[in-house]
Amino acid sequence: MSREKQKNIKPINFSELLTMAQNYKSLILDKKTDLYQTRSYFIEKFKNQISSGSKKLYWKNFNYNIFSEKNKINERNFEKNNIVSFEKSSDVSIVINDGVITSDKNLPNNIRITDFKEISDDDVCSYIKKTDKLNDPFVSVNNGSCDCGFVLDVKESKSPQIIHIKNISSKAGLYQNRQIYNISKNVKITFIESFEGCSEQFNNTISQWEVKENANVYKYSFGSRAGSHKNSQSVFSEFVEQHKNSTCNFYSFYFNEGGLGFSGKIRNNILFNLIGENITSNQWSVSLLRDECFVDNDVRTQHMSPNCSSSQVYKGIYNDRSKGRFDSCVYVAKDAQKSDTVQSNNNILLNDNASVNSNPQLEIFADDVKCAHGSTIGQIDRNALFYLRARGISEVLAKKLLLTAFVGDIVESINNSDILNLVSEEVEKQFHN
Amino acid sequence: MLEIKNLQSSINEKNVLKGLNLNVNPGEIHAIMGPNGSGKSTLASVISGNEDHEVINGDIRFMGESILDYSPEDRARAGIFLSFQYPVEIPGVSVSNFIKTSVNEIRKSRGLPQIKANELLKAMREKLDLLSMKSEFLSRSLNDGFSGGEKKRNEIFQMSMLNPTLAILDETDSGLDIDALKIVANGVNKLKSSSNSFIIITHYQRLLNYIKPDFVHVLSDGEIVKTGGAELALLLEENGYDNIVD
Ligand SMILES: Nc1ncnc2c1ncn2[C@@H]1O[C@H](COP(=O)(O)OP(=O)(O)OP(=O)(O)O)[C@@H](O)[C@H]1O
Ligand SMILES: [Mg+2]
Repeated sequence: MSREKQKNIKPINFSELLTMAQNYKSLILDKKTDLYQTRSYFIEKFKNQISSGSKKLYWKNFNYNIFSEKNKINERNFEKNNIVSFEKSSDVSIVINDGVITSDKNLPNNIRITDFKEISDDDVCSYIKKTDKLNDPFVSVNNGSCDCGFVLDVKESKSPQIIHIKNISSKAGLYQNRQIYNISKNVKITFIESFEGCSEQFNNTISQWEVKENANVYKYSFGSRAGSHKNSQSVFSEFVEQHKNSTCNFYSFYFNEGGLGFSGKIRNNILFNLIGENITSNQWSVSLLRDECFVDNDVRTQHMSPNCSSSQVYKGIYNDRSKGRFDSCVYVAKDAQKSDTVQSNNNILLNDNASVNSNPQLEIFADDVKCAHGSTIGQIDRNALFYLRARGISEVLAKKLLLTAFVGDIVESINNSDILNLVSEEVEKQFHN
Repeated sequence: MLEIKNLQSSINEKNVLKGLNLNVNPGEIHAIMGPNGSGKSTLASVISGNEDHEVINGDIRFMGESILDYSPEDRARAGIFLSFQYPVEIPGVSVSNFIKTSVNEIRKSRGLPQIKANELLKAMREKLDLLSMKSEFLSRSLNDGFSGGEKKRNEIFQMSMLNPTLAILDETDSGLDIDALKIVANGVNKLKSSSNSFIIITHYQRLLNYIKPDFVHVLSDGEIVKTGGAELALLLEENGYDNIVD
């Protein structure tokens, strides 16, 4: 894959990124505080990480020149008319406007959202130190300099709730965000995440989840955190710690067309840590890409205790010069007997210039486990296509039927009928020719 | 209705049909028999417009027009139906959605409005009944996990929904038990009229006990080498192809 280098990538220039990070640090007046020390430590770490290592590392393939001032005027309003509304499918929405929480009025009593700027230095330190083990410059730079985002605390409620988190952002250049989710015992909650905005943004977000005992979380995420500009870039690091008897079902949908469509480049660094027994942890992902879009998934699932099940079901259909990647590793610790894991990655390439890289891996140290993994890369089934056409169905419609069916199992697995219908409608819009 | 003249075809550089001639008039039933690999399914595929096969010579005319340049969907819309020897499994597309799409695409090509949902459902239930099929079929994925017999019945179900002018049945009887065979034959006989025609590809004269052919052809090495009446099938069953093929 990627035989030819993308022509539009200019030489890498991290200096802007570094200046920005250091400027932030200088805002902390008392140099003796733990926070200052911690921030400094991560910025040093970032400096070392970003400049060393092989050219193949994902962060060497981003375009950092959009940080320069002259590019920042290149903003365009997102066409509001095709934005999909989640009003019907959610109980309440939280609007985050350029990192500022602008609407949280009707939150139920059991849910509290706090601006990241307003939490104590000690809390900031403890959240950012949790990610110290990760060898990733974007995690380090976020740890060293991020100052916006939120902490969302969810306590048990009488009935399940659906929260829409609507992120709106028109900032060009670097935009760093920190989102902390503390999900208490027995909580049953669904999150919908959507992203609006169309500028040359480089988004570097970290989400940290703590899902406590017996909690049940669904998450449906649509598009790129960096918005829908074709030069937008998103690096998203998501860390999920699941405690015993908890369940997570996380869905990601990457569409290029329709009201939830995005454009640009996405890198996801996803880590699920299953630290108790009887955990269920499922990830589902659908990439329906065109143009030069790229969705690069790096996924790690760690089974640390017995009797847990996890799955990563990733599907992609790639048109034009779009690209996909599925790099997934399931780690099963020595004590994690009776682990049941599934890694599945199926892809269809619609164009000779589209490409996908699939690499499911296993690191197993327990002996009584069930670990399935598989990946496929193919084209539309010619025989199926002929079968449909032989019944009078046009080639275009036959392809649409087959492609829709290809991702149908993921769509059908959505257990909320409003969200399911909404996703089906959006999927329909992806295959118009 | 169907005139095939000197048809020659190839697939993956292998010549399969080698100058085949066949005439089918309205209301006629033609049976085609012949050894494995002689080109029976190829003939069916070429008539239906499968682009994997290349037509290198000859012509196929349907209702007075050459259809060689027609896409498979245009041939289907013109009234040609193929019951596949190996129906394709399509997970994620339900039988009912498939039939609805097919019916509406054909209607659209004829300038008709979309069929009403309840009308379609009624028609589907009726045909299912006729073929002793349960209505659960409708919500299942197309051919996905169907038994061999169920797949064949599903083909006949589609045929009766689409009401084609020319139906080609490629070994629809293979893998059917006696009861299913009667049911399938019944489906064919129900559709049969003075304006519809059938080409029935089979290895066994058994089916022909229930569907009486007007002509029986023997296809061998890409050509029709013998044509007779219904009695030819009986003869073949007794003596095999040896006496006819060379
Ligand atoms: N895709 C292909 N590539 C190469 N050869 C093919 C292909 N498809 C069919 N053939 C060849 O064409 C010939 C005719 O095949 P066809 O399927 O038409 O036979 P048939 O008469 O239907 O046989 P059967 O009774 O076994 O169904 C065979 O020799 C077969 O191997
Ligand atoms: Mg055959």
